[in-house]
Amino acid sequence: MTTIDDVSSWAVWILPLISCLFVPVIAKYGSKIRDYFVIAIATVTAGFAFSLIPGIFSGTGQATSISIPWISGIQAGVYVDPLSILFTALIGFFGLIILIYSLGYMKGEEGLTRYYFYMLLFIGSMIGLVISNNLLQMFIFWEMVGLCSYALVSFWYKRKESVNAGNKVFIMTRIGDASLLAAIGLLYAAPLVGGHAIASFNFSDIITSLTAGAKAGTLNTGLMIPIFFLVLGGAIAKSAQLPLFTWLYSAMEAPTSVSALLHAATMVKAGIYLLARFILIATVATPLILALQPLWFPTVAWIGVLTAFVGATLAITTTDIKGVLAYSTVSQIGFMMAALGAAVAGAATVGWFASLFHMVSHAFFEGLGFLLAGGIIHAIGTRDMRLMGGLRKAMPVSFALMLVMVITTSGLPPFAAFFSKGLVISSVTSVSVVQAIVLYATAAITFAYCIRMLSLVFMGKESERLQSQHVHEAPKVMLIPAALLAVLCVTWGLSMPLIGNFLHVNLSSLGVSLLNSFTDVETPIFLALLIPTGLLVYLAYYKNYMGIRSFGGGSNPIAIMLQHGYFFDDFYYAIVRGIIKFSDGLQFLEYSTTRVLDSFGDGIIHISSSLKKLPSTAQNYIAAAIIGLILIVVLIILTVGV
Amino acid sequence: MILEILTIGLIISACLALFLDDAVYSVAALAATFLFTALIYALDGAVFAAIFQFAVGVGTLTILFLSGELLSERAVKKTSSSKAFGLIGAGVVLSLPALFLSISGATSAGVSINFGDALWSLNGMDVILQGLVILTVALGIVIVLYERRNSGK
Amino acid sequence: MDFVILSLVVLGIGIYGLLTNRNLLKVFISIELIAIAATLNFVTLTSSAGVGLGQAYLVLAFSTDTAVSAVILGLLVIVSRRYGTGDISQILKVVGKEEGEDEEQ
Repeated sequence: MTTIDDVSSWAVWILPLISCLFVPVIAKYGSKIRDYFVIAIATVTAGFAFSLIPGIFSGTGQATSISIPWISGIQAGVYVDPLSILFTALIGFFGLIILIYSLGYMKGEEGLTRYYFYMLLFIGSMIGLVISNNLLQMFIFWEMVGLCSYALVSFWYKRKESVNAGNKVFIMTRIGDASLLAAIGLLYAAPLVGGHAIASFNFSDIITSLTAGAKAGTLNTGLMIPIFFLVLGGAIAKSAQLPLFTWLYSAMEAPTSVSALLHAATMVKAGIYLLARFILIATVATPLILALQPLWFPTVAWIGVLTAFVGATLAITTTDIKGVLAYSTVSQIGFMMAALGAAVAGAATVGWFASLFHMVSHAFFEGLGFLLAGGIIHAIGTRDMRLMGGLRKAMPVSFALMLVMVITTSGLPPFAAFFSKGLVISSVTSVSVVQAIVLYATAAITFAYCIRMLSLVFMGKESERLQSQHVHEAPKVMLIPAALLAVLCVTWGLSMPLIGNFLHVNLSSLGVSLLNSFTDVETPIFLALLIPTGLLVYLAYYKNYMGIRSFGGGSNPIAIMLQHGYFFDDFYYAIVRGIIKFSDGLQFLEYSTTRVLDSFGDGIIHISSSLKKLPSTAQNYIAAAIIGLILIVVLIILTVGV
Repeated sequence: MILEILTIGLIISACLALFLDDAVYSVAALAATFLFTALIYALDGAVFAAIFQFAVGVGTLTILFLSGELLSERAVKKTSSSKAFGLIGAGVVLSLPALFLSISGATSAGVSINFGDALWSLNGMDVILQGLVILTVALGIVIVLYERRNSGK
Repeated sequence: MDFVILSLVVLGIGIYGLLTNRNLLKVFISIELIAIAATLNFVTLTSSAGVGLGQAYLVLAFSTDTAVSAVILGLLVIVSRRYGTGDISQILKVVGKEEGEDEEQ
């Protein structure tokens, strides 16, 4: 019996993938029809995605996996479990919202057919990624998502910076792809269970093998630790963590709707999905979790914590409004990574739940930030925050929504991130106090850079640019998605028990509840750090106190380091320049070798044409070839013997 | 004995085919070459090959005869008989090595595969691919000619 | 009586004719001669031992060769009609003159 779930779980990713092929065809009939078609497909996809939710609520929390054989030996399949449907619903929802937003934001641009093609392809691939039931299919979609990211970042291909940014994004994420592929290969072929290889990409098969191996005590955990580190490598690149985080700032060359969809809400979360999925798989085998505890989990946690701190410090000094949001994303995903690193007992922990919960709230407030930034950029025409100021009179609705975003991002109660960020910090505290302290500091800086952005853009007196041009509020089609996200930001925190049910995590046994978020010991510390910092920064920027407007633009050593992004980019560019020089050297070697060989041929042609000049050039060349052949035969006979 | 005569005739007619000036004579010499090789095949036991070669060769020769006039030079000078005799002599001389020398070790192919197998299962794919190549070349020429005709107008 | 040397001799004649002839028709005949030499080699090698392999090669190679000849003859006819002569050096002179005209334009 085919239930609606069976159909939905396949249709939710196949439909966008196939429809994207039709976009160029339909675009021939007119741009309005193409827009309607795209929105319709996105709506249907979101419908399919949401239709899978009730099944999860009523289910047991275990996965159902359906496979069909595709090419010989390779299977295609879907894996319906709470983790994948959480992501699927998020992607479906965001895809629809961002496409509606694009109607307004991308109006009048050229190449829109290409834009919608890649957007639909992205939505299909991303959903395919999270709902795949085997590693190979997931990797294929992982790559496709990278392709769409590259194509959409370089959307305005006539700009050199966009093309360079696209290349940088693709190459940096590619490093992670190589790492992930190595992990997948090892997982397939290495003798992990009782001396045999698992020999299957399928999640269910892997789980079965691991469970059996754990029960029999024959699990080779020593080999599995490198596999998990390689997986971490893939996640680091895709989710823009230390040290491969600089691409996210460059990816801001993309249209803002693309930044909202790819680089805030969905694609960068693929790394989090990967890690969450692997932790979930590892939970079935206790020896494995125990083996991972000493080295792997702390690495994940420290990478997350450090990235969060680095991202926040870079966000507070950048002058680009999308740059603030980009570094904010890097920082918040660092929070999620830290929470995953704190999930040392596996998937039934506060850390795992906190990471996923924060993922959803982050999608909401970061997406909101990007949508509003798009409206501002559209209105003013620049991304530089120093040229903005006093926008709150001209764009009141955007100001109100941005206020919601700022309050949410900083984690002030009772908006969404208060619960999620609080949960992240409390999970980290139970593992390592040092990490928690860094996260507290990061949270304070987060509040600071949000206030800074708000003040620079909206408060104060109007800048000259504003006075010289007429600035109007963003159109409704752009504001409505933003408003929807703002509402979600406000109310999402209350859904924590709901999400706990959804993920089939027993929240009460973990000591997590809405009330606890208010009464936990972390909360007063959190607020005590946050509020004074925020007020300080607000006063500084709004009143131009102590000339702090130019903070980050100074020439003291810390400022220089921050301006250069901790010199990560310079280091990478130096490596790339070295590689280019090396290949130039190789090219010279090949050129000189070719010249030597060419002169042999020229010599023989001279010999044959001096013997007898034949009627046509073709005959001359054939004669030279025959002379060469005779020479070769003679040489062979002389050296080898008849 | 017959084989030797056939050999000499083969080489003589080859030389004549290449160096006679009149087109028709040249093609006739080529026909003689085909005939001699067919006879050599028949005497060696490959009768099918002999008949096949001659039959297909006739087709080539027909076309050659017809286009020979077109392709030959304008000022056709009659071949002097001394040149013809010179060519025959050269042919005789050239055939001497074949008659009297031998390369050691060149014996038959040791594997015994029957004709049908060799024709089809070993080389069928090869022939099909070659046929495709030829078809493509012919099509290309037709297209080029078509375009030249249209652009020439 | 060694057939390998015979086919080598015919091959040599064919190549010499291919290289030195100025007439398009003679060039084509030399190509045919080279094909005859090659198939002679194969057929005589195997048929004297009673194996049918060489005949198979003859059938395949010769029919292919005939098809190729058809294409080549077509090209030759077109070329000679275009340039009015069947002599290679004359044709190259005309082509050189045409290219000179193209460059001047």
